[in-house]
Amino acid sequence: MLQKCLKAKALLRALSFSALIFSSAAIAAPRTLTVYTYDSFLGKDGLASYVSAEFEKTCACKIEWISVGDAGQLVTRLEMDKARKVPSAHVIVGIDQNLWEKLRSQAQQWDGWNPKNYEKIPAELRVGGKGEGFLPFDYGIYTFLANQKDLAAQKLTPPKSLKDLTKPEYRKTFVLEDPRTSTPGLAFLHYSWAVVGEKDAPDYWKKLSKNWLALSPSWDQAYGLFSRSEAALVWTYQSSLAYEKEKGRGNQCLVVKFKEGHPIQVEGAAMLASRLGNDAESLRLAKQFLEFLLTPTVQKEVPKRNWMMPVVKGTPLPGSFQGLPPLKILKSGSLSLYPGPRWEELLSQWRRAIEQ
Amino acid sequence: MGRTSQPVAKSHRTVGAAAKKYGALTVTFFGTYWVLFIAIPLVALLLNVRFHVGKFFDPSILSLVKVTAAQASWSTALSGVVGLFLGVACSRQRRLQLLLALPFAISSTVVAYTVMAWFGRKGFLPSFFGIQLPWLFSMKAVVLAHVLLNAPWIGFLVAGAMGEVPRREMEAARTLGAKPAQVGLHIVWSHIVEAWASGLVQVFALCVMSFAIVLILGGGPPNETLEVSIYTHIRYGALDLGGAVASALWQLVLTLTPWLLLLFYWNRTGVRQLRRELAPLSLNVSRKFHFWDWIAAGAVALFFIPYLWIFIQTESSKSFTEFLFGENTWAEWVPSFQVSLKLALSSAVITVAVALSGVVSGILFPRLEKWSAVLLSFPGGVSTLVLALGFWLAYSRWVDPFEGSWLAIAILQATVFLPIALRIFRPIASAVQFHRIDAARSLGASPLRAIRWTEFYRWKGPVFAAFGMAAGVSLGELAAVSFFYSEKLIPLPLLMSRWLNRYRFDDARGISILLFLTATALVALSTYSGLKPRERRFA
Repeated sequence: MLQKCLKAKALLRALSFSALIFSSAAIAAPRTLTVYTYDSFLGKDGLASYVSAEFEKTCACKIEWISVGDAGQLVTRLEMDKARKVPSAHVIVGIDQNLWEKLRSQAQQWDGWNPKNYEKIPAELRVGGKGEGFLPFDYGIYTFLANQKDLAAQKLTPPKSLKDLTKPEYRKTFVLEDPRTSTPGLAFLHYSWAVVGEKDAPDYWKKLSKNWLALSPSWDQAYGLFSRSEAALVWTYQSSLAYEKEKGRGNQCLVVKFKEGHPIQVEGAAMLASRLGNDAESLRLAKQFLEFLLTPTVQKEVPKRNWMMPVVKGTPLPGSFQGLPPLKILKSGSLSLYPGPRWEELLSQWRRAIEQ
Repeated sequence: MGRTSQPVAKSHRTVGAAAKKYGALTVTFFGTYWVLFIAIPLVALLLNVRFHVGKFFDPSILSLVKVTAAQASWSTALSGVVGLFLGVACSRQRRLQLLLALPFAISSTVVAYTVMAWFGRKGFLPSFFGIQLPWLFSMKAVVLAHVLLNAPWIGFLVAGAMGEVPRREMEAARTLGAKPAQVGLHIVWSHIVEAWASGLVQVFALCVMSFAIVLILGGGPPNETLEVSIYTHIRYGALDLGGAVASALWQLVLTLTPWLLLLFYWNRTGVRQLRRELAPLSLNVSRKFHFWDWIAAGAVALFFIPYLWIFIQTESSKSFTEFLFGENTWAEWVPSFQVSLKLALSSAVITVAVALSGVVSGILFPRLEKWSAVLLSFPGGVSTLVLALGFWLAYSRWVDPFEGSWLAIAILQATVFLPIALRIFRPIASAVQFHRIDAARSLGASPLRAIRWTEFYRWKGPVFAAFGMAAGVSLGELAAVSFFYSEKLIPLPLLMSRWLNRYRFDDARGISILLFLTATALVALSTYSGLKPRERRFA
């Protein structure tokens, strides 16, 4: 009797133990990869939602996207995390070559890792040395978009160089973005500094400030002024013409070609060392995620979901993106496309110049 | 019917033990809220400045102080003149007062785009009448937008004060041979001047803290304000707390100085003026529209009709109905609308609870009356961004500005709205019918029941008004939201910004119409309710 009882107890224990194992396996949460990004990358029709849905099918993991506001705020976020001694994300998505200057010290280096499809990225779109940690996934060429009808109404032809913008005939015809609050604005500042030269840049900015119609706080507000025909020219991306084509206004708009060439914005992702340094499993997952950004699955969605160009050569483009006029890309150094003073210094130079 | 009840003399106040018990609770609640969410954040901000004294006198920040002060002064002066005329003209008609209140809920972004829609290169006025503003993107345009937004609010306050002008005094003066101008100067003016002056102070603070209007219409540096400087120092590129704190402190100096001067004046002239300054929102009303009322209606329309452009925008390829029920948009705007409503209602509940606790503390403990008014007025001089920065500095261990916290957003929005709520509650508080409460108590009613029978009907309208106005303003608020939102907490203004960044201009326009309709409906309903006559006949 006692023996039977002991056997029953042993059986019960075995059953409970296996139940425990099965239940814990069932409730074990999938590994989560935390990703910081800028606000407009998210949302239902953004690239983030698509990447999540597709990547989670393959990785048995969960992506947690955290919006930090504008792209420029990515740096602020990391600084705040550091100050508060709280863990940052595993991966950061949406940095560009200018932000990279500030972030590369915090990035996880690749240490010999060679992401699949990385070799298919043209050399001019690679930021930093190989293995430094910047993985490009899309790019855009900055230019002015012109409303031909509005220009013709003012008897103007599109400007041919940066210096044309300071001529009296272009007074109050164009709108720029504020370099302190907008990435395209900061790119224009770097670009003009690099093209005009260190010595003449302050004078150029001063003249420019008398001529611009407005310095908008963000790209969307600048583009809004252009859409409302308040301004005949707007500092934007080449891909804006694709949008105008889709709206049926492609013939009315024109991409301005500057003889000096055009700056580009390379958007990329990086792994963060502070979070991944001692976590091999998360590091593996982060690498898998970064690699996924270069797959055809993601690259073909870049134009429509992020209004940028895919970085991997040979990616098919949607109709509106085909036939965009070729622009001369401004060649650059290896780290930043516009090597020069740090951006705080550049901003204060600019500020002093326009306040004179 | 006019509001006839007069403030009851202090000697009539008999606060029983039960009331004192409740009073202690309200004082504790109000005091704790003020210390936690206003005092501590501001002290945290001040403590930080010790390390950044040099920044305080940075020439670029000093030049911003100059530009901000000049812009705010011009905006306030013009709004004051226009608002005074509007208030006097609309004082006889409740419906016109309602229209004066509506612009209060319109977001500053819509105001800026309204100026552009009318005066821009392709705006209505240049297209139809050839009238164009050569200075559209300059400080003059900023001042114009501020006047469009603030003059009706000053008019609303003046119209309220006009209702307090005693007719008997005016009739007596006329009987004694006073000319209309003399009656206006010596009787009417003396009754409305304080409401007007405090309105000016409030508008000055709002113009100093102006953000979206300056960014959109200012045309860029050097036409910008300290609020823009705070934003650029903490939200973009690198975190420069020193520059942000220095800008915030200068902003505090600019906004609080006029408030303190006014409070000093009140102190010198006594509590009676303070009470009268916070004029009631009810007045003598007439049902019939006379000739001058139609003229006044035309003047008020100039400050409301311009906003209707958002309904007739021609470049949009999508109708509002298509936006509302579109397959792609419905699933996106509905959750954000729910978040916006949740935030608006939370802010409104907190606003009403805190303002009521402050005002009731003053009623039950007369010694605290002046203090509660001062403390409730104080946030009127503090910008949301400044408070949010202080909030973060004080509570950064627990509240992360990037993690998202609806409570932090609601508290910040509610705090900034407290002075407006005070303005709505104060006149009712100054006329509590203590003798009626005593009578009800002597007939055996419990304290709560006595208050319910004798006071509730008077408070119902103003509480509803304050609730609706706070909720309406909160819907379009972006400063607090931009500090504490997260991916799970995306209200409509943020969704709009996200769509704008993705070329979804038509959908973003749909949101602006939705916000406009919801906010104005909330304010219209609440204000109409608040403006109803509040007298009850007792058998």
